[in-house]
Amino acid sequence: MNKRPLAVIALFFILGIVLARYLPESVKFVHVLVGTSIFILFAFLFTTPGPGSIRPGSGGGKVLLILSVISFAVLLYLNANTFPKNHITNFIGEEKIKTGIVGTIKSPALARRPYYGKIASTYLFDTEAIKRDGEWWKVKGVAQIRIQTEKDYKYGDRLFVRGAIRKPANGVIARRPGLNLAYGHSVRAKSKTFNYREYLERQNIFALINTKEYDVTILSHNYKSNSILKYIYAIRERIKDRIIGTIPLETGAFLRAILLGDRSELPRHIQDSFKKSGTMHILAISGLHIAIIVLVILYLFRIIGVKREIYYTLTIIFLIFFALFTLSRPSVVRASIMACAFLVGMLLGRKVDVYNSLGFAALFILIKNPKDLFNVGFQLSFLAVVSILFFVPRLMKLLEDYKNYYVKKFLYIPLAVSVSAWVATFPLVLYYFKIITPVAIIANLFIIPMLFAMLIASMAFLALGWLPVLGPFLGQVNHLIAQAIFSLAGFFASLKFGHFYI
Amino acid sequence: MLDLSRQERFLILAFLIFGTLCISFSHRQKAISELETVDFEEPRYVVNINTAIIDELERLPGIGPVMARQIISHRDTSGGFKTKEGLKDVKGIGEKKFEKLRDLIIISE
Repeated sequence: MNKRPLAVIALFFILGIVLARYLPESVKFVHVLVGTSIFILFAFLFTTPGPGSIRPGSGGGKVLLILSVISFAVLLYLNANTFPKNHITNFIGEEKIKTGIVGTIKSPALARRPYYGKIASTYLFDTEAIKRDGEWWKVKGVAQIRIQTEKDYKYGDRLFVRGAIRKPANGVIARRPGLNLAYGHSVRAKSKTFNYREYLERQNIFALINTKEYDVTILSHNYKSNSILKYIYAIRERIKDRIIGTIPLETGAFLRAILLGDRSELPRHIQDSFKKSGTMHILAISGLHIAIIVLVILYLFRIIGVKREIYYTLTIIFLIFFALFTLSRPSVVRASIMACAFLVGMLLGRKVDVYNSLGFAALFILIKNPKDLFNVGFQLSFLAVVSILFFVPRLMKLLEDYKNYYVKKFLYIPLAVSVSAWVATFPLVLYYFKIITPVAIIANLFIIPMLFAMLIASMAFLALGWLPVLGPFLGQVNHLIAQAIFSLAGFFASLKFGHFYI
Repeated sequence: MLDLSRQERFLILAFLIFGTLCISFSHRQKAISELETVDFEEPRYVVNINTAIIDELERLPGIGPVMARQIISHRDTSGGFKTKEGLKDVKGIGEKKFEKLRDLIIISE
């Protein structure tokens, strides 16, 4: 572990966050602040050379440095859970309140789906003022707003809304598919592992607002909006319209899931077959997608023959845009940061230590939002990557004497990756989702190459979809691949002993 | 484990000090925040009586579910309101009630 300082620091940082979460209420921010300052001060004394120093480089210095990192993490977590008095959570409760709220739409539609038989769109909504007890109060904090409407509101629309506002449900409920077959959709069943309020709070969403179109008044457009974001979101809408316009329904929904990160219109039965075949991860834009996209881009650049430094930098810029483009969803941001960490490492030209890059990515993500540690997606993606990095070289060593290059490249390596990823993630999947899917090891071998093809085809569609003949043709190609993926997922989901609900 | 050169340690400590200062500042800002009221003029709630559904009509002062239904059935049988005054033809809406509603309704196809 000598050459992996960032990985080690990240581990202690994570320890600090876990500690902070289970810290008793009586320990306050100030106490931790004093502790942290003392640790840092002493760590500093141990590092400074001079007459007063206590043998620099000794074990004591290391311990103090580690303690500083841990208590710094605690401090960060405590601060992330402290809210100002005028925060929206202080104005609302478990029960919904009907009142007036002023705020600004902060995202394009996150999801668009029927809600009690009517179409409703969901947006992020940055609150500004709320009416309580006949007075308008200044507030802060982001809410998720659902508007029953056929219209589309835009990023930057400042709205006056009459509606019902409440905190997200604190109960532990989760969707569990297959229980209500008569209606073909999932049914809410008790689960001890999913808490909607915590899930949203980790994304810094603190309130839910429900309203109807005629209760919404647009006060102004482009209110405090960022022109780069506005531009990116406009492109996103254009792409969405093009997908809706030219690609058949289910395929279009699938394309929007893997390109835009919006799977709200993908039919439930298809999502279920992905879940049961252990390939659900391909529906969330995650490390795998980013890795494939980065590979394709790097390959294209190499063909063109641009200098290495330039194309690495361009790829990093592209990743930042892509993350914004997919509405900075946590999974995409995570994967992009990880990819950027690897790319920066390679750019610096050193022999990069992958664990170090991973540690850097983890630190970056957790300093930005320490609560992300308790996100299932965060845990699954980091575990999967660590496990692949750790096990694959060791598994391949066992096959060192095996000579057939093609069998090795196209069968053994993918199999090793699939097995390593599954081994590390199945306990978590079992804990959170109450399902165990041994079939995933085989299913992923078939579906991931298909995803690779699908992503290339869909990127080609994005780039050339506007052309008259080629556009519809590419649309058809996408449609064919998507149908193949659906049937594969359906097939693996239907296999006996492929998955078990516990 | 964690064998760092002196420079690396300095770098980490400097980062920690800077971070701690930032966090303390942010925490302090949150702690001293005060509740404030703002003057906000609510936009008037205007209803297009030619397109409104029952829910919308019910929000108008003096109109309940029964009256809302009557307005809609009147609209359907008479082919829509041509003028605001047309609302007075609905059973139960007199001069007095109409005056209250006059500024809250609009007419369009």
